Amino acid sequence: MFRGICIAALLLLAWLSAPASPDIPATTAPSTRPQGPITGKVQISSLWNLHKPDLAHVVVYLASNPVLDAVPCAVNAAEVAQRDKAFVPRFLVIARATTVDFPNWDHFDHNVFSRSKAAPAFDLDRYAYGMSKSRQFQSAGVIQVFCNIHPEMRAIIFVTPNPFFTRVDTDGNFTIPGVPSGEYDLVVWNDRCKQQQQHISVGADQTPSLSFTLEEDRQSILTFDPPQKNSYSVERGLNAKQQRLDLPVVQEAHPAPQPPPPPDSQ
Amino acid sequence: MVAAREIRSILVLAVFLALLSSPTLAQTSRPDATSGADLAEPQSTPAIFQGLEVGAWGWLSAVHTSDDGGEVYWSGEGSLSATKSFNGQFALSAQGDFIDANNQVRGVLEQGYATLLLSDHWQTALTVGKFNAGIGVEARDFWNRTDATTSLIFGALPQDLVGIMITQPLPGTDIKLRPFVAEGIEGTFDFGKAPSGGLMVQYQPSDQLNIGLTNWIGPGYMPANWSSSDYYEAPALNWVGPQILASPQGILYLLDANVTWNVATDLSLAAEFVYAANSASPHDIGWTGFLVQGNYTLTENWRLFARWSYLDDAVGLITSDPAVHNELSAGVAYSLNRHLEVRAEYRHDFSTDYGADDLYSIDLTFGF
Repeated sequence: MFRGICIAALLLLAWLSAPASPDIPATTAPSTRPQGPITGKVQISSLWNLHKPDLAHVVVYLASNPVLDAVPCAVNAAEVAQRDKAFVPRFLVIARATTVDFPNWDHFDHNVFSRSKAAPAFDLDRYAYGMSKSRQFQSAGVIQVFCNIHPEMRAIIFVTPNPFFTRVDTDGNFTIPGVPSGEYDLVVWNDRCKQQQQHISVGADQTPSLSFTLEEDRQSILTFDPPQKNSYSVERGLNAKQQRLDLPVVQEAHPAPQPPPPPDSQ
Repeated sequence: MVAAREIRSILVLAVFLALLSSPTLAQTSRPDATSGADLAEPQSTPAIFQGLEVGAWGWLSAVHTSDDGGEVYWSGEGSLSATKSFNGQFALSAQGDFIDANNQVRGVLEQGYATLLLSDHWQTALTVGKFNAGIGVEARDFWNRTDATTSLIFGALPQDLVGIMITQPLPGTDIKLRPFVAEGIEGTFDFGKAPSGGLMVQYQPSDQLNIGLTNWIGPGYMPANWSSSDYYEAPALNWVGPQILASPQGILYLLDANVTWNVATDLSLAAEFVYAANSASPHDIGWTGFLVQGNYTLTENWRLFARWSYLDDAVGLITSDPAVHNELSAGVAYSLNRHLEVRAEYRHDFSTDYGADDLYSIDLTFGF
């Protein structure tokens, strides 16, 4: 009888010492189970510009975290086209391990290269209309992309460490859905501003709503959005390289992937 | 009351602004699309428009000078250019300018040339026609320049070439060679004399440093009996290039050396030296000049610039004024956007002949 009572007491003690719910971890390690969203609003404070700041290049993401970084991204392919002597889009945000295709839709050759360490540096050499080359970006960071034939072409590819990122809407509002519970660092980045970072907690009953005011930073502007520099243009219209790159060259080209049909034809 | 020439300059500007806002030209602006729909393959373009690049820029300027009783010089210039590329192997380019320089109206074909990529492997290009020379640190066209007025040595250097030029990058180096044969340093269609020739060497090891060296040899000049009224623009208002009033004689040797150093993302420095020796009887004549200039970028909107240029025009071949000239200038530029910039400049000119002259200028430039 006594032994039975002891066993029952031990079982009761074990049951009482167990976590009340598997959704609440015993430690602060984040759970991969989706929780509430992170919402907020971003504004840009401009000292130098006389016009309204452009929010199109504001990225909000969760900083590198072993659990978050292990979550696979639902979208692992993206595209930066070359059209009308411009990269389209000029600003792309992707998660790490995403492959970016660079189709050429101009009726003359283009080149794509980057000296950014996060890429790491690469040179896609020249290729013609209807062709494309690809590059997978394994490291998080800012990658500036240029064309060695048309120096006025430039783009930024922002690679986040995990899929938990978003861009703000035209009013500066953002939502990152499905963030697992835990404690994280939320980062707000813009190519013209100083980066901001805030420590946040996400839980079953915690859906952070945040507010950021970014300040335009002269050094960021000059680094990522510098004034256009003109060059001698007698070789305009030719597939002539402007500078010697000495970067690892990607030779493999493939036909440009067919774009999705326009919405009205679906 | 606004003078007729000012109205005309403003009308030139208005016409070009209207042209630039048209969809045809707007296609050359850079899209910033982010939606998937924008990534769709473009609609099939008519063959004539494939590889066609159209550009336009304009400039409206007012220069107040303490000389001539404080007169204000109005200038307006509109430029249209087009380049048609044929698969990147062959290209035709043309640029026409309409100029209203203080009530002197004219239209000019500034550039008209063909370029052929002779060797895709060696990146050898052949250029034939009339084209910008690209010698020196000051760009030929106002829209591309970083200062408001041109330096004293701008008019002492060839700005347009009428002839043939080969562009050849040296494999494995950061050097480009551009040998050329041209009509003369004034860039006109005057073929009644022996051709000139030379070599431009460009060394650009990085985005931070650019070094250029040009030598030139061709028919020379000797001073003519001119009057000051023959020279229709003061040096500060010369943004066309050399306009030498002289008789042909002897041989002209010209050397230009320049360096542009982008010290940091916000600071760019440049220096240039030009030396011209003209072997003409009874003794050699020529000119010597230099400039140093700096550009400091505050943000992508605000920019400061300053320059000192010097020209020893010993016999007045360049300025019609045999004297040593100096010019100090400084100013500020504000870009309203990537297509529109306003510049304000103060300039102090002084020479051993005429003394000092203060100039104030306001300029509006736009380009697409």
